[in-house]
Amino acid sequence: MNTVDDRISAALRARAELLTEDDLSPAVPPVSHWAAPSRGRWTAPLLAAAVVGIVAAGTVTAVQLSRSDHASPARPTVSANPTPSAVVPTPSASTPAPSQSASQPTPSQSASQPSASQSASQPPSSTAVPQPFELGYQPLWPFGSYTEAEQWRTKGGGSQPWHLDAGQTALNFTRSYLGFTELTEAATPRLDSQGAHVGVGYRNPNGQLSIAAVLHLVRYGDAKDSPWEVVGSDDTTMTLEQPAYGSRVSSPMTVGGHITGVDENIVVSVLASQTDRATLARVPAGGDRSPWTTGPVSFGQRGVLTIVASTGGHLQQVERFAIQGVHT
Amino acid sequence: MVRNKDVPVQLSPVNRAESGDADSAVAALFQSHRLAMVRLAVLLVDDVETSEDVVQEAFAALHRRWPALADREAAVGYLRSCVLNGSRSVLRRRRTVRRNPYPEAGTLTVEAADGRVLLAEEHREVIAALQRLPRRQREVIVLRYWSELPEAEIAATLGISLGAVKSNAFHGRQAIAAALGGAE
Repeated sequence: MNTVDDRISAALRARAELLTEDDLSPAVPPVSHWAAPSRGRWTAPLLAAAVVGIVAAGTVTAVQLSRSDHASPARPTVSANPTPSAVVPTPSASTPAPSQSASQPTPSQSASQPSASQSASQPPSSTAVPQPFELGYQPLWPFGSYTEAEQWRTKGGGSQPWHLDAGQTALNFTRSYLGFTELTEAATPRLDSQGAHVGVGYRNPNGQLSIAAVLHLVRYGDAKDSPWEVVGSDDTTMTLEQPAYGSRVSSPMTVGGHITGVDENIVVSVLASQTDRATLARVPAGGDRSPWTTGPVSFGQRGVLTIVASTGGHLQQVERFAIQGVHT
Repeated sequence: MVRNKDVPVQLSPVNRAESGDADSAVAALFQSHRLAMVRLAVLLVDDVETSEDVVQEAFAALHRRWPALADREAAVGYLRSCVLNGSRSVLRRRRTVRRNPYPEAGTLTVEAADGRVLLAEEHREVIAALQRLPRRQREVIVLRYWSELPEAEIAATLGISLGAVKSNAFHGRQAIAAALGGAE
C-alpha cells in the first residue's frame, strides 16, 4: 500500500466495511399507500396484502412483549389495574366522528369493498370472541379498546384500510384528531421491536421535510392484520414529561417538560375525543433543554386523555408537538 | 365501535396502476442494495443512524419515482443520486444548526462516535483528511475510490461535467496526499 490511491481505497473500504448487515436497524422497504376506491377498488386488497405481508415479515411481532426500554419517558404498564379503556367509557362510544353520516357513506365504507383481512384463503371469523389482549400502552387513537380494534379487524368489511398503514394512521391522528392540518407529511415508518415510529411534519420553504413529532404506534392485537394504534410520541427537542405517561390524573394538574428553542409559545391542550378537547394553557419558553411548566390547570375531560403540547409560529402555527397518554 | 371512521385518507402521489410493480421491485432493491447505500452515506455523513434515514428516504423517493423511471436498469444510479442528495442536505443542516442555536425539529444530528475508533491509524488519517475536503471533492473521491465508478458515471450521478469530476478528483487527491505528508 504505497500510493495515495491505494491508501484512499483501503481506508474507505475499511471505514465502510465496519458497517455490516447486523449493524443496521430493522427496516422495511416503502410500499404504496392505499388506493382510493374511486381510482380502482381492486388495488386496496392487493396493497393490503402487500403491506401485511411485508410488515409481518418484519420485526414488529414482538411489539407488546418488549417495551421497557422505550425511548419515550418511562411508560408504566397498565396491567396492575384494569386498563383505563376497560374502566372508563371510551370517547368514541359517545362521540361519533363529525363526518360520519348514515345516509352518505364514504366511498371507502362501501360494503362491496373487501377487507384487507378478508382474503379468500383466510376469511375472518365473525363469531370469534376477542381474547384478552394487553396493549401495555395507553390506547390513544383511533381505537378506545381492544374490542373496538377486533371489531374493525373482524367485521370492518374493509372500511378504512389505512388502519393497517402506520404512516397513514399517524398522519390521520395528527390532522384529524389533533387538528394540526398544516402537518401534511408522514415519513417512512421506522419499525422496531417496540412498534412503529413515524415522523409527521411539513415541507419547509426549502422543500425539505421538517419533522414536527415522531409518533409511536403499536399493533392493537396479535394478528397480522391487527390495526395500528397511536400510543405516544418519541420526544427529542421538545418533551412532555409531567404528568408521567400512563399515570392517573385529576384536576387540577400540572403539565411540563423540556424544550430547546428560541421564543417558543407552548400551547397545552387535552383531548378525550375528537370533539371533547380544551386548551389548558399557553406557556412562553425557550433555551437549551429548558424546563417549562403550566402550573396547576383545571380540566373537565374524563377517561383516556391525550395531553398535547405544541409550539410554532416561526414558519407555521404548529412546528413541533409532543403528546402524553394519561387517564382519569 | 371504531372512532372516526370517516377520517379522510391522505394518499401519496404514486402511480397506483403500477404500485404493485413498484412495491416488489423496490423491495428487491432494498434487500440487495440497502447495506451498500448505507455504507455510501456513512462515508459522506459519518453517522450510521443518519445514514440509515438518508437511505430510507432514498428508497422512498425511488418508490415514488418508479412509475416514471424511463430506464428501470438505472434504478441503482437513481438511488445513489438520492443518497448523495440526502447526505448533502444533512451536511447543510448540520452547518445551519452550528450557526443557529434554534434547531429545526427532528433534524438534530449527533457527531459520529462510532466505528472510526476501530480503524487502523493509517486509515484514520485518510478518513480525517477526507472529512476536511470540500463537499464536492469528498463526493467525487468516495464515488471514485469506494464505489469505483468511472468518471462519466460520477459526472452523471452528481450532475456535473466530466471536467469538473476530473478537477475535483485531482484537487481532492492532492489535499489528501498533502495531509498524509505528501506520501506517494
